[in-house]
Amino acid sequence: MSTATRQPQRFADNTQNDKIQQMIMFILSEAREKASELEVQADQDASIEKLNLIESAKKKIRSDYEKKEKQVEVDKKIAHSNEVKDARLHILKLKDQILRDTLKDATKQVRSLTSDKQKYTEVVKKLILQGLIRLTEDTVNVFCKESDYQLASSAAKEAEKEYSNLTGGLRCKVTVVQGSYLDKDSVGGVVVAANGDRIKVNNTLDQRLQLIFEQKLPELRGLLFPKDAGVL
Amino acid sequence: MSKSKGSIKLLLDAEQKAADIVKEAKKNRLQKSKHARDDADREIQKYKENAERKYNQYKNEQVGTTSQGTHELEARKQRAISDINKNVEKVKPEVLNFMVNFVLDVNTDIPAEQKVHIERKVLSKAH
Repeated sequence: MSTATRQPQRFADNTQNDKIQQMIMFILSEAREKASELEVQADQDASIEKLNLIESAKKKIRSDYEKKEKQVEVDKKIAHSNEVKDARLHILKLKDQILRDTLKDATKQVRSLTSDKQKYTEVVKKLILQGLIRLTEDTVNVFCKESDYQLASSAAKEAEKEYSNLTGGLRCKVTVVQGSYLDKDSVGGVVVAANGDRIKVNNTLDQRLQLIFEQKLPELRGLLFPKDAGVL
Repeated sequence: MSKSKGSIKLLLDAEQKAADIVKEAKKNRLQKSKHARDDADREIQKYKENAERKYNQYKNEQVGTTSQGTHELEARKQRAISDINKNVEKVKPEVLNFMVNFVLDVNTDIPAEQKVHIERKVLSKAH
């Protein structure tokens, strides 16, 4: 009886065990399936993520370095144009220095020529005479360097005579002023003044040098710096 | 009763195990993602180093051509300076002559407009 009654019980136990085993298998296999799905998905996601990261980073790096290379080019161009500018400026300064040196040398030559008293007296006479012609006054004052006083006085006498001859009879009394002289460092020449010294003809050699330097600058430049010389 | 209790425990254990399997998979997923990012970083770093190398090479080349340009410009400048100085040396006496003569050759001709004025003045003096 007992075996008879246990038999189905065991049977039932076994069936129940099988069912539970099945359920467990099912639960686990579902979990494994889910896990393997997750894994496949994770692999896919990871490789997509990797690809995306790399692509966008590469794109950014490319554009960054393109910009950097362009900047190198721009910097190079700027540097070059600055160098050209500096070189041009250097040459401009050189030319300016040459012009100033030329004026200095011309001044030196004129100054040395004033030591030839005879020639210089002739020059001073003409400087006074030119003043007289421009002013056409009856009396004028002449200002000169103190060291030129004697020389200017005799030049003035000659100038008076020539003025009369040139104009066909006009007379002008020329007074070389004593006590008020041109600067002792002046190259020479005279200032001819009339009407209480209100009207002045500045015929100093300094002024004439300055004048030629200003008026004849294009010619001086043309001579000193021909177009083909000094081009970068 | 104890049998079914045993069964429930088995099932619960299985559920727990299943949950652990899924949890492990999820954890792996995070790790894979991190791994992918690390891989990407390495590759990006390599790419960047390569770009930097190429850039430096380019920059050096540019510096090279720049200094070549600088040399050429400097040579042109020196040539220009020497041309200028040579010509100045050649024409300076002529230029100085021109200036000195201009200063010392004083024109004492009576200008046309002054002539009329002077003639009138001479006439009025004569009367």
